Amino acid sequence: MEVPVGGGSDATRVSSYNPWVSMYWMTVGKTVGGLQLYNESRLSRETALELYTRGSAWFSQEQAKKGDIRTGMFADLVVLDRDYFNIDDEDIKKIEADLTIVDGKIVYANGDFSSFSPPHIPILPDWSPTNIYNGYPTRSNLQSAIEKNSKATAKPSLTSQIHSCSGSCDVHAHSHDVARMSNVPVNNYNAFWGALGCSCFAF
Amino acid sequence: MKADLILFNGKIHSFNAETPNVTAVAIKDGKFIAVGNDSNVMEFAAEETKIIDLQNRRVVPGINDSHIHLIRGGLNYNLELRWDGVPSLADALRMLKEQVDRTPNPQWVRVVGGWSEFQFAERRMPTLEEINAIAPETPVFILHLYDRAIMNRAALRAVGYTKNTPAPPGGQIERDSNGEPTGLIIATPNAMILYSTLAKGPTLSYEHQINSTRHFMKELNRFGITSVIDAGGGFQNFPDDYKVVNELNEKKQLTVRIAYNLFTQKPKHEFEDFEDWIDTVKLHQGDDMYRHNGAGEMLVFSAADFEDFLQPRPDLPENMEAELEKVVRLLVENRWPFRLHATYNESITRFLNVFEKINQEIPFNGLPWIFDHAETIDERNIERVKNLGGGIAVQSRMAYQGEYFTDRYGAKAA
Repeated sequence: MEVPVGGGSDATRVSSYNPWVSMYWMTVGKTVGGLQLYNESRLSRETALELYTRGSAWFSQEQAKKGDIRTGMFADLVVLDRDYFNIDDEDIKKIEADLTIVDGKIVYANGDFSSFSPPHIPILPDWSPTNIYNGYPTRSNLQSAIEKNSKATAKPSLTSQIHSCSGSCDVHAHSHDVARMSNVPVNNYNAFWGALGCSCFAF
Repeated sequence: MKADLILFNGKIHSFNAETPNVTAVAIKDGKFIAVGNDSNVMEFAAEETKIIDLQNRRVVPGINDSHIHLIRGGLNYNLELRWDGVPSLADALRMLKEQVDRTPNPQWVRVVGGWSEFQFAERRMPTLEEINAIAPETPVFILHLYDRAIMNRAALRAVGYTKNTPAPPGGQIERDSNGEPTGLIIATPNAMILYSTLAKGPTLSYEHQINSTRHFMKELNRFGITSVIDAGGGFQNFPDDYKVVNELNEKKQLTVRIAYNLFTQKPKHEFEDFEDWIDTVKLHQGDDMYRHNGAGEMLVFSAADFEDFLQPRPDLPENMEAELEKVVRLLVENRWPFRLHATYNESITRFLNVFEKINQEIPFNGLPWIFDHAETIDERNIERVKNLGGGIAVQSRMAYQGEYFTDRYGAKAA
């Protein structure tokens, strides 16, 4: 018998709660900053997933009740927005659910399944950061949060107070956020911005 | 038997070798009643069955985070600006500025972990000057890992830190040449200074804590989390700070299954805490959505080896063994499962000495127990854990501070 091992995050005060960042870490061996810390001890994707499902169930002595999709077990499952087993390493960090079921009930639905979504609960208090940013940012929701905020506060110049340009760069006519969020090699970041001549990051 | 819900046309991943190529499941009363191919499973359909086409998507079992602070995180979620996954410091500071502008007095803006400067394109943390310029009036508290908090002047005023404020043991308040606090507070390596400062901030009302917890669970559902094991936490008192989660369970509004461990809050009086809980809490009390799961991750404060890789590894005090033995003996006598925060192999060796000694007198005999984190555990100690029937809960903490670990201990140690 091997030692039981469960996957986890220790969120929220050091790590993020996003399990797919952990899954990326376990299977690719890189930190969120891209440092390759492990290579030989990288886990297979199936094993990483198993630690985070069946493995964790042992830790509350519920291994017979949950952790797998099998007859008699709790109806807890997740439909992913992309195929964990057939995507590039870097895309593992971007995985989200499109449908999450707990105890046979739909608790979360998005994308193609959004018609099944439970009713929205207003976020309180109304000034909560959750109201604007709505949790862990993806490229698309970070962008929409920025737009939502500029509408909500009627201060479209807010971003430009911080960056020297907002929206599209007036001087260089490139779309600032598209350029900024593009996947440039981090080592060359300054060179990249130098090449575009946009000093938004100089701040 | 007829299903309440059928999902078909999916690529369903099961660990059960007897059911490869699963495409459909039937569900009734919260359990799977059939797992197989579309035609087998469709036999469970009735007129009232809800049927969903999975459009050939990948489906996996619900994700279970075996070490998270959901209950505490939920009480605060709507108060916290999260930098998790934000690609640049410029974005992070812009979000901070926007949140400062909309936050009413006397509330704070707080960023409580979940980020590392290595995720930022600029690869640095914000400076005190930057946050003071962004927020001259609104208190701002930014927690970085377990190592420091960056506070603006308004936050220093709010918590009342002055020239004369002493730092607690294992903590440091950085001071300028006049002896005034600069706004930087550092764990050296005890994170208590960070958490006790954070705990001085305003909290949400009970009604808003209910709302906040529901949104935090929804956020976890967004990533496919369906179960967690809650590891308690500093300043997370039982039963007072569990009222919210208890009420949500009674109203059937939990969307994540929670098993919770009880974390002592009383240094030097941990034994009394556990004695009291063993009297008042029935092991595993609750139901399949919300269930007690034993003791930990804090059992005795003298055994806490803080995982701050910016600081040297702490040597645990000499009285640790005696204090830990007293508490673990109580737990084993009462057959309470327990978990213990353990970062370094050196501490793990000492913890195992204690456990093995107790096991000689009162056999663990299959009692489940857990080491949490165990970042540097060696083969020998893994074998000892195995022999005592323990488990190891691993986390992605290193993904956020691996750069610091490598700086201190070298790539070979990692």
